Formats: sequence, structure tokens, C-alpha cells
Amino acid sequence: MKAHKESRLLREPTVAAAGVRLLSDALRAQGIAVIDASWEPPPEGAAPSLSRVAADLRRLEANERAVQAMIESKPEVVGVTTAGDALGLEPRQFLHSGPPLTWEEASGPLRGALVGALLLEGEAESPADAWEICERDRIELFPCHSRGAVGPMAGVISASMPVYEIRDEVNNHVTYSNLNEGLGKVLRMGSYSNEVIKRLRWMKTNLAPILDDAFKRHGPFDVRALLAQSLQMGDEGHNRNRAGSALFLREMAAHIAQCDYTNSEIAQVFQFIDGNEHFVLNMVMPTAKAAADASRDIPGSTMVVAMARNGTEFGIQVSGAGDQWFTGPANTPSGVLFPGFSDVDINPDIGDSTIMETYGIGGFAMACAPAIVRFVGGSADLAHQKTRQMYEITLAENPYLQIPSMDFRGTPTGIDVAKVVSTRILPAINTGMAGKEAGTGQVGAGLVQPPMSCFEQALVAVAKSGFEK
Amino acid sequence: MLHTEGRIDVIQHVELREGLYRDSVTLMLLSKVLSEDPKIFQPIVAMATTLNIELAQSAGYEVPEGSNTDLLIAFRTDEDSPHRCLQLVEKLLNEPLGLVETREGADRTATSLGRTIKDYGAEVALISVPGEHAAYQAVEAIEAGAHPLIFSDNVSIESELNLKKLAEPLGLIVMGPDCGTVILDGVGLGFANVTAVGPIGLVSASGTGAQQVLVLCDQAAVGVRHVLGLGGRDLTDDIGGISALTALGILDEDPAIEVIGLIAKRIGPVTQKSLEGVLSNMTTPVVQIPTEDLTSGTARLLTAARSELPELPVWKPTRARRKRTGRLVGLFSGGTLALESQRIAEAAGWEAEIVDLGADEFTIGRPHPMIDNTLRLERLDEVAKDNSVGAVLIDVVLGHGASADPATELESAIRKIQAPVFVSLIGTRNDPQDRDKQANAFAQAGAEVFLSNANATRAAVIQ
Repeated sequence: MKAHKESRLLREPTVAAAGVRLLSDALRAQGIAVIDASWEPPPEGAAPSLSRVAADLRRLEANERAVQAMIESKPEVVGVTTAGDALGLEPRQFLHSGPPLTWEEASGPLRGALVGALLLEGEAESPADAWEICERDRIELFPCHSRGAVGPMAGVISASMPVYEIRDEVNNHVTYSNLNEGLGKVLRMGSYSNEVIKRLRWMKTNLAPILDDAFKRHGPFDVRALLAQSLQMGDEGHNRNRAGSALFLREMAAHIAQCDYTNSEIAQVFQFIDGNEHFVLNMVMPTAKAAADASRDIPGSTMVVAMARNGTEFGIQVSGAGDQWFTGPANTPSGVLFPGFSDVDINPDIGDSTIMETYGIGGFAMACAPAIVRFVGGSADLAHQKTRQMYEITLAENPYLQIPSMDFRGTPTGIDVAKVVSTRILPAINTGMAGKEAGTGQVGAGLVQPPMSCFEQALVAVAKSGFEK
Repeated sequence: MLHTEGRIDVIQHVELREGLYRDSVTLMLLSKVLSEDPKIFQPIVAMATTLNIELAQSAGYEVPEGSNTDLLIAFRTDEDSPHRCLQLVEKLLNEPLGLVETREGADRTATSLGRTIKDYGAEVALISVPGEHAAYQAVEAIEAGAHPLIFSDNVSIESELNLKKLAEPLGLIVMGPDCGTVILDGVGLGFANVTAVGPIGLVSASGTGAQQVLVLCDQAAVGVRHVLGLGGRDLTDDIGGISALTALGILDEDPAIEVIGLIAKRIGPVTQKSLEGVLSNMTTPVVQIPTEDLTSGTARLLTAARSELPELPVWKPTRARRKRTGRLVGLFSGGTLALESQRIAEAAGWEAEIVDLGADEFTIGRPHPMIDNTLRLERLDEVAKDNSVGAVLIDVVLGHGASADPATELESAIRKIQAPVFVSLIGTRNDPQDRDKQANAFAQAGAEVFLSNANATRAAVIQ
């Protein structure tokens, strides 16, 4: 027989209640501590799936395994390599962000980025030429996630592009991302001007080899440790990476300086990193991806292992449902715009960077980033509320990534689709905003809501898997 | 995205403020507010980085030399003086800005049951949501480490089994589903009578069954410390008594419990075997109380507690009624009490029509008769008009959760009945409804009132 001596069931228990207020009021009348949860019915039709996953004996343990694997993953940057070799890409094969789609379905910024990538690869003479190649179905598209990669915004990765190689020794797993180009007119936002292509070429010829050399001198770069620090310095790891980028440069400076390049070439690298407050984003994203991948394919688990947008659809993947995407129409973000743009210029939600929220930071760690609280409505209080709400839909708190202003509470980690559906609380997502028109570039930054239907579909799929086993 | 300037004379204002830093999000928001002013066109308020200066130049502004630590303020206006516009810029730069937008759900204060349990360290989760949602709420409780008490009915037996299988290895007990009565350390959850805390612990597959036992123990002045409810199906072989076995273990370990009563309906043969195995290893004596006769079962329980069932008070009707001539009609709110009466009447060879008005078929879309007597009043009116009815038996359950004044609700209906009326009043002296006042009111209305349902039934059938 189990030992129940530790249980306070029988001595002045504290009671939590969901349902009829009459019953908890009767307890209160007897002087008992009762806290009413504010239960509301889940979306229409969700009850059978919720009951089914509730009765799935695998789920609690599967979710515990999934979230612990995410938390304990320890990804490190080991170097910079080339996408063609690392990701198996031919010159006319491209990776893109989000769930799979075709050129016809692609939105402006993704099309713009593909045009730019064809120019970069030397596969097209001009933007018009590139556009025609795409129209004639002479390119192949694959989601970054299908090749162990992630890319911010359009997420276009082509064969000759340099990519970070991130290794998680704990799970013997490798992930990749391209290098961040900076702000404004950039390929990931759908720009393909000469200036954009010129910068990408310089990144290939100078930035990538110098960084790779510096990483080899430095040894594996612990990105989780960097995040742990940057979250305590005002970053949330998605829309603010100012502290993380500064920390990266500080730690790597001596190693970069020792590379066998001219002073002015080295200085250019420093300048480039200094001018890009999101430089480190493309290292933290594959880190989050590696951590989320560690939680994949655990039968019965209702934990989200990927959230990604392709500019047309928002998609999620769930541990207990393999590589299947559950998608819904991408919403249009709202937030603050660069001067000269208005709401009509904003493209629907795009990018793999929601891997940060999948990992429990970004919008989930809004309480870390008072400098950008205006995204969530203007006050530090609301930022705290937002983060606090995310604990409702997550499985655990990440002890490695702490929130100083919440007494160093761990970030809310491991989104559970069952909790999302039952509470109707959607994940809070911070995001950059791309211009709708191909070639525009970034127009601002803000917040976006995922469609609830993805989470409902995923729940149904895992519920069915429990039934079929 | 550009405002049309028309043919009106436009004043252009451009300035650099040296060393004034505002973060880019603040500035983007500020530009947004400015652009909403009908008199301000193409506003750019941004740090004077190369990118932003180019942007201003491409919008036709002549920007003086500066550094990227300066703040660039540029706008066009058709007003005589840009004074008002500048004042607005000034105000926005120096005041906290308002909300970006209130989004649906953003200010929801909702807390899920799981989160509530974790945040407040709750040990017990009281679940009374509609049945189709109850299993998920229960698993949230289990996940958060609390014992679920499922008051809701209409939970499938498969869900019940899996919830109990999940909870057991975690040392948690699932009370229910359809668990109406629980007492923990003298505190009643759900429907429970007010009684002194004492040496008895009950494990019960029936809510009203437990309340009958509570009332009789209270009458013997023997207190009950805990009542752990199981739900009516726990002791069938479908569930195998998972909660019953856990409950017995919990009570066996509590040094304050001297005697345990196990209130059971039918026990499955396989379950019976595992139950016997557990009982033989327990140090606390266990008295089984079958629901066929709760009163004699309680008498054995009291004997084991070195006490005895006292002579129970009976409240005689204050006016005579006609002799009984025909069948007994029972209108019950408690299912277990209804069954008990049915069996006693059958055993006495008496024609009886016993209805459980708390059964699912009667409670869909309306409150349970323990809370609301509307349906019972309708039935009593019918009975009053029916000359073939020889005697009427009703149960009235008092205590926490029950109707505040059932005698007032029922007395005029009882008065209209010519046949003898018997009331099983399941209440203790300290119940909030004032039991003795209730009993007297029923007696005034012409009913004979008992504390034991078995005794009330026997009186009704042998008269």
C-alpha cells in the first residue's frame, strides 16, 4: 500500500474548484480555503478529444519526458558550413519557413526572397528572369523544418548560403540556420535589390569563414548559457536580441580578431555585428529548434514541438503526431510600424522564429523585456500578465532560463495543445512584420495570434492515436 | 501609405535633437500616433541612423548633418504654424504612451484548474463541471498533484477507469465520478451533514448512503472524521475498487481513525477478492455496511466503535389520517435510499412503487431534487388525487448543499394527501436547516418522521 502520510488530504486541505460556485461557497462557509478556477467550456466539439487524451494513460508521462528533453537539451554552435552540403540542397532547391507550400500559394515576402535567392545562386540574370523561373515551376521548395533547419521570416535558404551548425551533444542532434542579414531591406523580409544580394555575397565570402574560424578557436559556443544571460539583460530572445548580440560579440571578439584577415576586413565584421541587434537571433533559433527536436516523436505526448508560419498558413507539429503539420490561415500581426508604412502594408504572419515561443521564450518571456513592453499594450504590468498567462498552457518551468522580475521563475516551457484548447488561451507570439509586396522589406514589429484550429486538429490527432494503439 | 497633400501650402519641419535617445518601439508607436492626426503628414520620428536619414530623404525631407545618437523629428503640416504639432510631439516624447490595442483574450484573468492547484498548493480539486468536461479537469488535477473529487455525473466508465489508473501510482485518490458526499477532517465537500469529529472513518460508494450513516452516528454521539467517496461504480469489477482500496489505505494510516465503515452497493466478485486481501492486512477494523439496510449496518459499526445505536426519535403526526388501503408510493431524492426502501418493501411482501427522482432521466435540464423540490411537488399532487395509493414515503436530506427549508416547500402538498405519509429525515441536530424544526413542521403537516430510512419504510409497510 502507498504511503499517504505526507498527504495533506486529511488535514485542513486547500481546495481548488472548477464548476458550480454553490459547492465552493458551502466550503467557504465552513472556513475552508477554496480557490475557484475560472473554468469555461472549451471550443465547440473539443470535449470528446479532451476526454480522450485525458483518459490516455500515456500522456502525463509522455509529456513529462517531452518537456524534460526540451529543458535538458544543451545546443552549441560548432561552426559555419554551407547549406548545399549540410542540408542537401541543389542550386534550384530552396528551403522556406513554415509548413509546406507552393510558389502559387506563397505570399509577397517569400516570393521576393526566392527571387533574391535565385539571383544569389546565379540561376537568374534579373529579378524578372527569376520570377519567370518560379512561375514556370522550375524550383523545388521544402520547409526548413523538414531538413533540421529554421529560418526567420521568409526563411529562404539556398545551396551556397552559409549556415550555422548547432550541435546538441545531449541528444546527438544537429540543427541549422542561415546568418542574420540585419534590419530594413533584407532577403528574409522579401527584398532582393542589388544591395541585398551584395550583402549576402559578402556574408558568404567574408563573414562566414571568419565566424567559422572564430568558432573553431573558441570551441563550441553554449547558446543556452548566452540566452540565460540575455534574458536577464532585457531580451526576450525573439523581438529583442540586443543584449544577446552584444554578449556574443564580447565573447567572440578576441577570437574573431585573431582570424587571418586584414584589419579592415575584421573591422567590417565587427561593424556588421554591431549594426544588427538581431545578429544572434539566427543562433538562438536553431538552439530552440534543437531543444524542441529533442521532444519529438513521443507517443501520447500533446506537447508542441514546432510552430511556424509561411506567410500563408500558420502550422504546428506535436510530439505525439510525428511530422504531421496542423495548419490554419496565418493571421496578420499588429503592432508598431516603421515610419511611412500603414496596416495595409503588413503581410500575414511569416517565419520559423516562433520556434522561440515553442521553446518558452519570445512572447512567453515578455516579462524579461521591459524595453519592448509597448508591443503588449504599453506597461510592464501587462507584460507580466502575458507571461503569467503562458504558465497556464505550458507543462514546466525552465530552470536554466529565468525571469528576474518574477523572482527568477523559470520561463513557461512546453506548450500543451490540450491546455491551449481547454483554456482557449493561445500562445503569445512576438514577431517581425514584413511588407506584403515582394521587395518591400521589414515594415515593423508586433504581436500575432495563432489560429485556434491548429491546436484543435492536433489534439484530435493525438486523441485518435491513443484510441488506435 | 502616403498622405495626399493636395494644393494647400505645406510647411515642412525637420530637426535633430542632439543626444535624445528613445527606443525604436516607442518611436514607431509615436510616429503611428502622429500619423493619425489629420493635420500631420508623413511624420518621421526616429533615431538618426543612416537607414532612417535615407528614409527621410526619400520622403523629400532635407536632413541636416548629425549622428545616430540624435533624434530626428520630421513632419509636414498645412497649419499656419507647426507649433501645435510640435507640442504634440513634445507631449508624446515625454509621456508614457497609451495602449497599442486591446486584444481579445489578452486581459483574461482565467486560471485553469491545474494552474490554480499549483499556484495555491491545493490538495483537493472539487470538480462539478458538466460531465463531458469532467474527465479532462480531473486529469489536470492529477497532473498538478491534487486528489480529484468529481461531483459531476455522466462520465464514461472507460474514463473513470483510466483516471483511477493514472491517479493510483501517484498516491492520489479519485473520488467519484458522481460523488456527492465527502468529509475531510470534519469539513463537508458537496452534500454533507454537520457532525462532530470523532473516531469513525467512512469509505462510501454512495453519497446519501454515507449521509444516512452520518446521521445515525451523530445520534449516537459518535463523531465521523472522514468520509471518502468513491462513486457508485468503483466496487464493480469494471473498476475493481481502485479508489476503495486507496481510501482504505489512507484511513488505515490515520491514527485518529479507530473504526472504518465501508458502505457498498453490489461488490463485484473479483473486486471482493482483492478487497478481502487488503482488509486482512489492515490494522484498523472495517465494518461493511451494505446499502440494503444502512441502519442495521450502522448499528454494527457503532458496536465496533464501542458504542451502540440509541433508540431513535420519531415525530408522530399531529392529526390522524385514514388507514392504509393499497400500495406504497415512494418519491425519493436519494437513489441509495430508494433502493433500500424497495428491498425492505419487497422483503415484507408489500406492493411498492418506489421512484428515484434524482435519477438521470429526471435531472436532465433541471436541478437535483435534493436542491429543488419542484418535480416532487408535482408528483405529490398526483398522489393526493389517486385513491389507490395506500401510503406515501419520501426522503428529505438536510446538511450542506441541500435545500434551505424543505419542510416549508413540501408541507402544503403533504397536507393534501389523505393516505399516511412517512418521511425519512436525513439530518443531524447541527445541520444548517435546523433538523428538529423541520421534523416538527413535517409532523404538523401530518407526516410521521424518522431519522432512519429503513425504519420509516418498515413503518410504512407494516402499518
